[in-house]
Amino acid sequence: MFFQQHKDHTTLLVVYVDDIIITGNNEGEIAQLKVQLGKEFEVKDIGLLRYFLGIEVARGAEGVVLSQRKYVLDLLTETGILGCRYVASPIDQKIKLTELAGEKVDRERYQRLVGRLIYLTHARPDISFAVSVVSRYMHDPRKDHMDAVYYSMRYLKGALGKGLIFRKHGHFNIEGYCDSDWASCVDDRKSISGYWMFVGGNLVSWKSKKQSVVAR
Amino acid sequence: MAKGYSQTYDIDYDETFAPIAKMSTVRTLISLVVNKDWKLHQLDVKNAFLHEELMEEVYVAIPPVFGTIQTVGKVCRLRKSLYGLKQSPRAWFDKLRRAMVGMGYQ
Repeated sequence: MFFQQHKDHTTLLVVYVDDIIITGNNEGEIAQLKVQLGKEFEVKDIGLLRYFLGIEVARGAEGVVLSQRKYVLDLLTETGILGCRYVASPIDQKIKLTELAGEKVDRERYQRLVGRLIYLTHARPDISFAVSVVSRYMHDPRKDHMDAVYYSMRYLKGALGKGLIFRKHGHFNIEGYCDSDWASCVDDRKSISGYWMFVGGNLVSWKSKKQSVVAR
Repeated sequence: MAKGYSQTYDIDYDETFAPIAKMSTVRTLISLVVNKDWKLHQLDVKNAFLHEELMEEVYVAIPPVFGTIQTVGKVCRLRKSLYGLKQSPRAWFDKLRRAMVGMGYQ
C-alpha cells in the first residue's frame, strides 16, 4: 500500500498483483496519479471499482456491498448443485464430524472444492465456521466430510449474493469480539475460537479456528 | 511462459518475495472510503510481469516454433521479465515501487 499526503490531500494506492485500487479525498490528485502510472506502464483505467479478484463491489444508497455472487453461481453450476433444494444453515448442526467418517473419497476433488469455499470467505464470514470444519479433513477426506461440503454449497444456493455491507458510521473506532465453544471437537476435545474485528463500524477481519491446545 | 521450475536459487534468481495487499487491508480501506465519502478507482495493469529489465542473467531454450538449422545448440538470453520466471512478480513490484516513490509516495 502506498500513500501520499500533501496539504490537505490524501491519496492511497493498494496493489494486488496486477490490480490497483486508488482512493483519496481529491479527485484531481487521483486523475494525475492515473496519468503518471499510464506513462510508466500499460494500464487500463477501469473507472470506479466494480470487480476485484472475483469479488463484486456495488455502491448503493446504504453503502458499499462486497459479494461473490458470480463465483458462487459458477461453483454451483460446475458441481450441479443449482437444481438442488437449498438448506438454511451453512453446516448441519445435528452432525458432529469426525475423522474416518465413512468411505474414502477423491482427495483431489475434495481439496479443490474446499479450496473454492475458502476463496469464498473473502466476502462471506457466514461460511467461515463450516469451511474451517471441512478444511480439517483435507488430508484424508471421507464420505461424511464430502457430504458436509455439499451441505455448505446447498446453503450457498439459498444465499447466493450474501456478502459484506460497509456503512457510514462516522467514526474510525476499532472494535473486536471473540468467543469460543466448549471442547466441541470430538476427535481431540479442543475448542474452537472465533473473532471479529470492526474498523469504522464495518467488519474487516474475522476467523474461526480450532485452538492449538486442549483447554483445561 | 518460462519454465520457472528449473531455476536455481542464488544462481538464476535471488529475491522472489513480492508484497501483495491482504484482503483485510482492502476491507479496511473500503471501510475508510465509505466513512469518508471517497470514491474507489481501479486500474488494471496489462502484462504487469513483462515490463521489467532482468537483474540476473537468465537463458531460455529457443521456443520450438522459432527453431531453424542455425539455432541448433544455441539459447536465448532474456532481457526482460517473462511470465513464469521466479523473479517476475518481484521485478514488477520493484518497478511500481520506484515509480510511486518517484511521485512522492511512501
